[in-house]
Amino acid sequence: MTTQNVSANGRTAIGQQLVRWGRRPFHDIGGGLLIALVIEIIVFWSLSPNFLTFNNITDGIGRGMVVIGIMAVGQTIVIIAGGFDLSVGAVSAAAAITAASLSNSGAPFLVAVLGAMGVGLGVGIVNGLITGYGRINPLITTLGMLSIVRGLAQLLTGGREKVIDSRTFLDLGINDTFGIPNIVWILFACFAFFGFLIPRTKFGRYVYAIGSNDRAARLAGVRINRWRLVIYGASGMLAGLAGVVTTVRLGTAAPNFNTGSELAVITAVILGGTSLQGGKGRLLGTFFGLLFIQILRNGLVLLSVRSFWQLIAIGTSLIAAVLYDEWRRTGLTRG
Amino acid sequence: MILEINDITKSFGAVDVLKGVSMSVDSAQCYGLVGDNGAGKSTLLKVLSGVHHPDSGEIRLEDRVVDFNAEIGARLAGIEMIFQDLALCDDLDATANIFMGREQRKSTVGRFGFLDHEGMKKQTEEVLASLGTDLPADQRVRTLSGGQRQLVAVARALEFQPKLLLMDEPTAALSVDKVGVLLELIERLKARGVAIILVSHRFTDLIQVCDKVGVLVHGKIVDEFEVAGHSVDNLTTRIVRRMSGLDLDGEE
Ligand SMILES: Nc1ncnc2c1ncn2[C@@H]1O[C@H](COP(=O)(O)OP(=O)(O)O)[C@@H](O)[C@H]1O
Ligand SMILES: [Mg+2]
Repeated sequence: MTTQNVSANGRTAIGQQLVRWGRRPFHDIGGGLLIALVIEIIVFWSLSPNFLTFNNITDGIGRGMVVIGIMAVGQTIVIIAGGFDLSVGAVSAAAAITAASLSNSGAPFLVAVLGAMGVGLGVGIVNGLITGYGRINPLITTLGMLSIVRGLAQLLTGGREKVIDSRTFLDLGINDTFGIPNIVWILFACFAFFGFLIPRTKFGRYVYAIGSNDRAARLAGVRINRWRLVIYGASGMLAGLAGVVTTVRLGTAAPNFNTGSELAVITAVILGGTSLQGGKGRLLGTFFGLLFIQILRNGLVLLSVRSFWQLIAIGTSLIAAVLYDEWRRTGLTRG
Repeated sequence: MILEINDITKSFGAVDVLKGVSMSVDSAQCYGLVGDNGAGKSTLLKVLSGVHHPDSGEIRLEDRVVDFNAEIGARLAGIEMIFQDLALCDDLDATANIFMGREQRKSTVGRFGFLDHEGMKKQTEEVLASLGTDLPADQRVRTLSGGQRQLVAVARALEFQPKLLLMDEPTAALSVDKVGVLLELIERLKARGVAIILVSHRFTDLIQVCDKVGVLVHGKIVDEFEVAGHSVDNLTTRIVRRMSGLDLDGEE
């Protein structure tokens, strides 16, 4: 009798564990996005013969999503931490110009990349200083920074493009490894790197703690303002890397690069289930949100829909995602 | 004396919240602090735990003047506080909250290392068990009941073996049997030599576990007395009269 009970309990426990384990990857993402993604794929597949081709998947979708994807990794971290970073697009342009200038003046590839990421890191740290120590709303801070950085980029280049001479840059944009474009590998590496660190380090834990209740974290002795420097610094650095990738893809650097890209970036993050309130979210969710946005952009291009429809579609997705999040949250509180 | 404070004042803008508070508590002692809402009890405890810096006055910990400028300073000195609003990160689980700011890591290299999830979870379960609860260590604190959240806050204060424990209304959300567990716990902590300052509106509980009681009215301690040798009724009357600003009518 007793043994029977034990084994029965044991079995249910294992069963529950399996169910939890199976759900785990999708915990917080919400089934809604995955269903929307499947529907989206079916729709474009049936409307466009070019949609599910190898070339479109690696190029139109894969290469096309790298720049906003890299920025979305940083944005996810910032939003989970209760912040916001509107400056990423402008930072990527400034970083692209930095990379191009360094490279054209003879610096090795790696130095040019590090220089670009350094510019991003610098801007990110300033964002962190102003929002943390200065206690200024992050939307306002990073909106101001967007304008400042964009303006500086125009000023320093005289508004002109810089054409890249270096072969390494151009090759990186063209070459594949195991059939997957190298810049897509860079995107995967960013997701993998932070996806690995966040659950395993103090950094990751404090990102959630600061977003959940920064006062409580501070009272527990977490130096929240220092961590904000790290958080915004990471976002800036990733935006810098995104700028390098833009240069690699286009072979030039221009001060108006990625204008308005923050819209797609933030939409990918919010679609992925990261809460605007902070404290909640996952990079895996952002990855699916990114896929959704990129497939939408790519599909509309394939259907030769005029480009302003892209803006309308992305804006609609953003608002729908926020509504869905709000509805899920208040539904939960009521229950 | 483990803690002695002299003439502590604290204002927020034009509001004088603490107007010269002096008191002391010894190890293995519990000091009960009572007073109306807004009397300044939470502010006093926050000054002691380094959240607020006093405008003037002196804090002596184990006969040395201390001046905490960050909360962690007080925690390193062995002062733990259970905040009235608990100060928990609701999106994190009990383990993450209990070890917040003091995460344990395995095999660190310099300043880097990975969190020791299993170790911290095990210790969390142990400290929660010592509080007579088996609430899940790995569930978001938001999903717990008010009483369970309060126990998480208590567990956090206990996990790091404080010398001085500041408790700001720790029983407010607890059920009757959990209040009993907490009072027993206070006795056990005292037996281990821990000094405690307990803020509570439950006078009978306070009188049961405290050795000394202070009555705070408008930022001043207007009465302070030893508990031993008096009846609960007597002391309750005394507290109530003092809080309403009355004299003791020569009773004592
Ligand atoms: N951070 C603060 N800023 C301004 N006023 C405060 C602050 N904290 C407390 N007060 C004021 O100080 C007074 C005492 O508050 P508090 O210490 O919380 O009282 P108690 O815990 O005894 O109810 C109240 O009038 C409160 O409004
Ligand atoms: Mg209070």
